[in-house]
Amino acid sequence: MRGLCAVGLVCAALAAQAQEPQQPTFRSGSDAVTVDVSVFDGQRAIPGLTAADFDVRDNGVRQTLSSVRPNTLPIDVRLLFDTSGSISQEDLERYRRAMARVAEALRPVDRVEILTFSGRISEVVPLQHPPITVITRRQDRDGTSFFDAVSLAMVTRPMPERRQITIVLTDAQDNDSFFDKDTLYASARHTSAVVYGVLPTGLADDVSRFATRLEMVARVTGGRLVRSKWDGRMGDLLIRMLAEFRQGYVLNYALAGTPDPGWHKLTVTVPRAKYTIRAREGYFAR
Amino acid sequence: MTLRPPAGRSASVAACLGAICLLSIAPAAAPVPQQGLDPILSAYTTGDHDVVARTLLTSHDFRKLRLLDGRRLERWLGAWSSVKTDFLLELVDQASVVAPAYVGPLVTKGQAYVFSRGAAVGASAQDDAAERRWHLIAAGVLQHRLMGAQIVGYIDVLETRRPLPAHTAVWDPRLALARGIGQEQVCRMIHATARVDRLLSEFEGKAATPPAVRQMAIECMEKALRFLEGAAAREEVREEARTRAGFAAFQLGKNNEARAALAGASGSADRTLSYWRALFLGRVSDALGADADAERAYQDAVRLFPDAQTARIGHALALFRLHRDDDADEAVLAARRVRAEGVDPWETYFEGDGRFVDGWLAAMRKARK
Repeated sequence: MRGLCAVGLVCAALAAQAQEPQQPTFRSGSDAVTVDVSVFDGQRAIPGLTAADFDVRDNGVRQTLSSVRPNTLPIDVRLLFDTSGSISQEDLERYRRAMARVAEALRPVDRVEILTFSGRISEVVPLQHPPITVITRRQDRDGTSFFDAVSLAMVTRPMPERRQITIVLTDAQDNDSFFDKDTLYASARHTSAVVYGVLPTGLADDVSRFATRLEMVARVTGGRLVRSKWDGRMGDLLIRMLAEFRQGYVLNYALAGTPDPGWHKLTVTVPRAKYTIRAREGYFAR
Repeated sequence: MTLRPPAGRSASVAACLGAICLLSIAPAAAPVPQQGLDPILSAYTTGDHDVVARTLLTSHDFRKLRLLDGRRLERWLGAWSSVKTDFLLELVDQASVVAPAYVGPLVTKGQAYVFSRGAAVGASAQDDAAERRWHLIAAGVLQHRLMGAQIVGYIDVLETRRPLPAHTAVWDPRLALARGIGQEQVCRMIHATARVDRLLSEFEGKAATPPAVRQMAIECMEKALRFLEGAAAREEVREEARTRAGFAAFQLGKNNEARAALAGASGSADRTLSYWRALFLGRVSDALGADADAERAYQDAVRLFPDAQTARIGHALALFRLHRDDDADEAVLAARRVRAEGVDPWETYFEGDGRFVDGWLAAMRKARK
């Protein structure tokens, strides 16, 4: 297959640049696919799985895994906070503390970037290694551009030597976007990051009806949606998400038997047990 | 994260329909004003054109004048005069800034007042110009306040009382567009988009828009499309009518029709209009799966307004889908880092002619000197 290179899919040339010694490389002419997978038995992450344990289907064609490794690669964390509406100074301070805690939990090889949105999206901390300095401030523009902001946050560059996680904290309400659900869905299908959503609970407004917007993004990318109070323990929650991401596996295979460009549907299972598997639903072959 | 009315960004009272506003703020047994409109009008007539903005600083000031008391206002207005017509426009404009609930009732009363002019249209060029200015600016303020239903009603009444072509002298060509813009605003209030999101139906579940609401949104947008296509018959507003019709067609999922309408709207010297056109062309191209075309369209929009985040987001997303990683990275950073005070004309799209009102008022004041 010519020129196949996609979100979640790493071309031979790119893979060869991997910095980690254990990172597999792929010879020219092959097409390497990398997939983040989390395996759970209830709440418990399942460790110690090998290539023999997984069944991976790419467009329905069973693939041979070249490696299965715990997710110990450096990670890039993208945090997106919804600061629209009646966010108080106290809320902002709570967000700032949560952002700082996440940065503290990262390793020196990891990187973090922080964005906020209301009517517009703003960069609070550009992509960088920890430590970071976080200064949050209220945006002048009102409105909530959920679809615009989250769609933009889906834009990632596939990186074979790093894993990417995007965490979105929002009630998923929208009243100001130019883009819409279709755009968000398309962007989620293209992103190479695993997306976690945090939906607030205990608000005066019942926002559960908007949960499907975030749920959809999380499901497509292999992440999940968490409903939680946005209180002083928000930092702990974010750190648990990072830990969960790190407890996952990174699966690699050289694509075989389904060379078509475009959307490739992925199915990952562990046939010998009834585990809960989370992996992205597919990727775009270039 | 309180839900704002799904409408343009600068207006804070978006869903204020005349009658409802009137009921909600009607004063109970308000006292007789100590200071009426006469001194303000007097200062205005002598050339103090800032007097309204300087005197009526809050909605309380409007309340003191009992401007919602229709009969009282009617009595004060008396026989028609072009000075009072202009003065009413000043009141409407100032109400739009500090007392939005007064806009609807004042415009309704003002429209009736303008129709009360004795001489027939065509008898006096000066009076015709005053009436024409009234309709244009009043409709512009209604658009700015996103009072879609009232705009549609306003134009309906105007058509009845000043039917075309006999009354062309009082019809600014932009009024042909006003009904379509008003209808767009009405649709916006029903549902953020009338577009059928087939792709996402599997995710929608209980969150899906109820079929009845969706149908209402579709019918509303079809009506807007008809109005806008009708407005395109007027050469003076053709490009904007086609641009808006293109966006309406897109929202109805009629992508090819949308592309054709937008293609027929090129060549405007109006930078804001050109931006909207490029932006919509980007969306339509997205929907048609033509990512390279979308990228070019969004790039055009970015060139017109480099600080417009909406165009920059579209551009970044198109590059992303095209797997142009370096360019997408650059575009994402540019989108995130637009200047906070930068102009994004998408944010005022639904406000229609609101963008012209300040200029029209300035021209009116200049003409009064």
